[in-house]
Order: sequence, then structure tokens, then C-alpha cells
Amino acid sequence: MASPDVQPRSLESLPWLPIAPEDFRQQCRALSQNKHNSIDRARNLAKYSLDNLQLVKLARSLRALKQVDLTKQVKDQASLPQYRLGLTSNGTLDHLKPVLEISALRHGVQLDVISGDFGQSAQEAMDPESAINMAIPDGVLIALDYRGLPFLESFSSENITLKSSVIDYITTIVDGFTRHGIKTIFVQSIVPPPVLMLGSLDRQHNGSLRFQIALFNEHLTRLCRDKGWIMFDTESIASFVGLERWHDPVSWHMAKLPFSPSYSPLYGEYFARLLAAVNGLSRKCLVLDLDNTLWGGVIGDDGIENIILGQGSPLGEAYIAIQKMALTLKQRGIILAVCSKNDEKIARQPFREHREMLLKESDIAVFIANWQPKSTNLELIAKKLNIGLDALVFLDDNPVERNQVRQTLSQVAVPELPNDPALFPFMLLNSGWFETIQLTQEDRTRAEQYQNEAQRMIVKESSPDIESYLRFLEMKAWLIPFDAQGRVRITQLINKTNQFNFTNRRYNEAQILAFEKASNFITLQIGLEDRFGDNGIISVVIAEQQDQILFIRNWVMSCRVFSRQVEHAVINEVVTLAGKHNITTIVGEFIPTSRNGVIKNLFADLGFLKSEMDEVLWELKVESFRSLNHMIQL
Amino acid sequence: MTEKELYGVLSEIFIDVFDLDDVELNPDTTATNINEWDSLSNIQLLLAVEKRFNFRFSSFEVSGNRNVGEFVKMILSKLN
Repeated sequence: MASPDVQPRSLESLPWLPIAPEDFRQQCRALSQNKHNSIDRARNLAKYSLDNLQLVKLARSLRALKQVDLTKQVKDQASLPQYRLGLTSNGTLDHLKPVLEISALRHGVQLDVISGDFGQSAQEAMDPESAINMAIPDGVLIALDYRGLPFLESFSSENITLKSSVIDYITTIVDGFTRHGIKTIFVQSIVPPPVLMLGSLDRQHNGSLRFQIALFNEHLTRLCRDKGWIMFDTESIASFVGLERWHDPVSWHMAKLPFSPSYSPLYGEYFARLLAAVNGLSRKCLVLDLDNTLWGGVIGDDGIENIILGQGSPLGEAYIAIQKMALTLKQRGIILAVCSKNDEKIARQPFREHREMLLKESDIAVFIANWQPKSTNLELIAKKLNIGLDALVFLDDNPVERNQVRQTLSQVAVPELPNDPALFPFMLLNSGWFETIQLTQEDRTRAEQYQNEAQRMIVKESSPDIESYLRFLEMKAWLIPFDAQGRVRITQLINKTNQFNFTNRRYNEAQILAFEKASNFITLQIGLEDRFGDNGIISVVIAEQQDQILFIRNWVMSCRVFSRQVEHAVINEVVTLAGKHNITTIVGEFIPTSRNGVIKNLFADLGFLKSEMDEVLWELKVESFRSLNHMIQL
Repeated sequence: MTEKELYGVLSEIFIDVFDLDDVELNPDTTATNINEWDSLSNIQLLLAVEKRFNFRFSSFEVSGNRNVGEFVKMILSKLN
């Protein structure tokens, strides 16, 4: 165990990220000297807790890398999703460019930031030739602070409501960017300054700045919910830090920095999670160590009577809080797994017999307890759940174990932990690996889904052949066009799926609605159930008709239903629909990424022929298509 | 800390912040003498100095330093 007297690190230093090595600067410089695997190595360097200067240096090295070798750029670009972000503010944010880029890299996104050239965000948004509009970014972050909005602080009258001009102002900016084709809008919540003009009365008095800001944030929340803007909740972040530390009048007067630059790394890190979520990279599974993580002590040595859990002891209560946190995460759709160095039977004992255990065995989708290295077991967990290693977050009190996993499996997120378990929930939740921009019914029932899947696996392993297993499943599917009911889940699937994803084109809810309404689009949402349960919507097809050709813009499918011949049923339906719309040729596109290799031969298997004109295109003639077999009842 | 020592420490910081191989700081050095020294990197410079000495600059202190010499004098009076 680590030395017990180390002071817990402050929020400013992103304490859930490990401390950078002594030779960090040399490693940065070495990036451009040896271009082999450079983006991956840069990404590994980004995983440390870095201060402003370190972030600048890493960003600089990264930029130098990209300029030097263009052909390598193309290869490396295939491995991480790219995102171009416009950045506009009433203050100075140029110093945040490298911070945002490296924070994004830490979360698996290659970010390119375009700063607005106009001081006025409204101007930037409305001028078609502004720097941001000309760059056609994927998204824009409207990072206004309280000084950039026309709040009216007034003490003259009792009856002041939030001036509509403030809401109009922000709406004008958003509409301006949207009109110029920018798909995703991020808007910051407003951080109030740590001053009260009247005192406690500020909260009640309509004309006080505090009141106005609170009302604005409320309005903004509603606008985001109704219009699909994404809120970047800087107000919460600043409150975690403390308003007094966040605000920095000296820096504002000196260089119009909207908040203390000490918190730039924190700001970048929190924004990067939103970016990750938008790019479908939110992690899905929390893997828990047992001894000294879910209870105090070592079950194998101390026995069930002596492990510390609950019972009114401060330490015991701290472990209860950790279990409670895990349960809450499960309720919001995070899968729980266990990875412990123990004999399995002994490891399961507290779950079965300890009166204070909150977590039950049935809460754990995969339970692995053996004496193998944890990295081996994490790979096994990922395999069993059919998710990537980059969907895992590993919680372990032991720094030796944490380091072993970080060294061997760089894709697994391993938050650093202080010695005191009372701080584990804060540390894990603030590490932000599970941040999401949507919560659906599917999320809420995910744990149950994975239990059902485990049951299917047991049956599959005992089936004599694949056909009898598929027949035994008694699968039923429905395939219908997009509709209002499925919209949220459709959007989620399109944005979250990485393996069975032909073109990696992501769409937001507004675009999904547009496809639904467009007469020249053929859309399909496919749901699947079987004797073990209902999987809900598990596949989505978006296809555009141009004359007699149907272009499949994207087709995604949840990895949970691979190898069930669902794709046969889907393609049969697509061809049937194509026939009804007078389409002669269906064109599919396969754009390879580092994660969709599993489907690289699928078009061939389904009867498509590779196009002679373009490497990524595949063609299917409707006339010559023969229905494919499957065991699914429609 | 003596003035000479401070020049030494500041040179290290300048080299680090501006990513230089070497730097020669004189009392009359200004941003015009160093290519990489602009308003953006100036922010990084002040942050780095604050971090190194574990203090914060006040508005008085960050206003009106016309060259490195004045900057050094200001820091010395802050330290001593």
C-alpha cells in the first residue's frame, strides 16, 4: 500500500490522472524524432496530469509531428476520430487551444480548434466569412462568461425580469452558427462572480446579477433540452473549485482571461469528456477490485467476520459509499464487473454472506477472481462483454496493480486514487470516463440486458451447432422506418456504435429527424427479441435515394447481436424496399477505421461486388439479389 | 535571492516557456527581442514565474514592466 501520509492532491492538478514522469519534456521532444506509433505515444503522454506548460509542449510536439509527415498523417488519422471545433468567447481563449487539443487526445479525439477572429461572438456567428464559419467545424463552443452577456444589474425597480435580450443574444449566436451548417452547438453555463451586492437578498432580488445569472442558466437548460444544444456546465465545475478560486480579476484585467489560468487544464479536461461523449467514446463498464476497494481488509486473510464494511465505523461507511456509487452507476447504465486476485469462492463470500454488502452477485455482469495478472482478466472481461478495452474503467486501491494495468493495457482508464477510500467516489466520478450526453431507457435496462446475454452465452456454448442455437433462440425482429418513438435510441446507436459501423458517419437528433421526414431517404430501425429478452433497437440503416441508386449512408448494428444473421434479415428488407422504390442498384460504403475491421468482408458476404471505380464502394444489383437465409421471424 | 541568481532562474524559465535552446537576458531585453514572446506566451511566462516562486502577481506588479530589468526588480522586491 502507498505511504499513508501523502496529502491528497487538489482539484487543480486533476488528481485522478497519474503524475507525469520526470522525463516528460524529453518524451515530448522524442515524439518528433521517432515517428513510429507517434500518435499513440502522444496519446499516452496526454494521459498524465499536465499543467499549462506541459500541455503547451505536448501540443507543440504533436503539431510538429503532423506537419512533417503527411502520408503518415493519413494512416494515423484512421485510428482516432477527428473533430474540428470552433471556439468563440467575449474573453481571451487562445491559451486554451493546446489545452483543449491535448485533453481531447486523452479521451481519444484528435481535435483541431479554430478560434473566432471577431471579439463579438454574434458577429462571428452571423458573418458567413468569419473564421469559424469558413472552417465549417463539426461543432462550436460558445464560451461566453457573465461579462459577455447583456445582463442588466439594477437596483432601481422591484419588477425586473430577465431581459429577453440576453436570451435573444445567445439564440442569435446559436442560430447564426447553425445556419452556416455547424451541427453541434456547445454552450457554457454562466459562472456567477463570488460577490453579493445586497448580501443574502441577492437571491431574491430580480435585479441582482446573481438572480439574473441563475435565471439565465435555468432558461439555458431548457433551451438545450428543447433544441438539442449541448450544455458545457462550467458553473458546476467552477463551484467544485470554488468561485473565489475560479474567478481571477487580475488575469481578466491583464489579458481578458475569463477565469484563473490555473484551472485551464481542468476546464480542458471537463470539455474533453463532452467531446468524447459526442463521438461515441463514453466508457461503458466499471471493473472493480475487491479487497480494500469494496471493503476494508483482505477477505482471504481476514475472513468474513473481520473485513471492514459499514457497521458505523468511518472506514466501513466509506466502503459502503463506494458500493452505493457503483450501484448508482449501474442504474444509469454502466456495466459492473469484478476483477480480483482471490480464490473465486472466497471472493464471492461477502456478496453472499455479509449483511452490510450493498452489491449483490446479480449486480455484477462478469465476476473474475483468480491469480492471473489483472491485465489478462481485464482482456477477458472485455471479450465476454463484447466491448473494447477502451470501454473499461478500472478501480483498484493498489498503485502497483494500477500501474501494471496502465503499462500493459493503455486503452483501459485507470483513475489514480488517494489512500483514503472516503475520497474514492469523488475521484472516480470526477475522472469523468462515463460522461454521457443522453440517457435512454436502454441505458437503464442495460444491466438486465447483459444478464440476459450471459444466459444466451451459456446456451450457445452447450448447443451442438450454430443453427440449433439460433433456432432455439426463437428470434423475432421488426424492421420499420424511423419514427418519433425510436428517435432517441436511433441517435444513440448511430453515435455509440464503433465495430459494426460502415462509414462512421455520426448524426445528431435533428438530423435523424430530417432523415425521417425526407422523401428521398429510406430509413430502417430494427428491433430484436428472443426467448431470453427484448434487445430493443439494435440496428439502424440510413440510405439516400438518387434516381435509381440507393446509397447506404450508414448502417450500424449493436455488437450484442452479432452472429445471429440479423444482417441477412436487414439486407433482405433493404432490397425489398429498394424494389418498391424503383431502385436498381444499392451502393454501400465501407470506410475502414481502427475498430470496424470485423465487417470489412461483410458486403462481399452479403452479395455485393466491389466497385471498380472507388475502393470504398460496393454495389448490389437489386434484380440479381437472392434472399439470404436466417432464423428470425419477422 | 540575488539579482544575478534571479536572472539565472528567469533564463531557465524563458528557455522552458518559449522553447528556446538558449537565451541571453539583459535589463533592456523586451518582447521585441525574443520571437516567441507574444501576448499569449506572456501569460504562460507569468504563470510559470508564479509557479516557480509560489506567489501571485498583483495588478500593480503586472502593469508597467517595460523590460526584463523592471520585471526583475519587481520580483526581487516581492521575494525580499
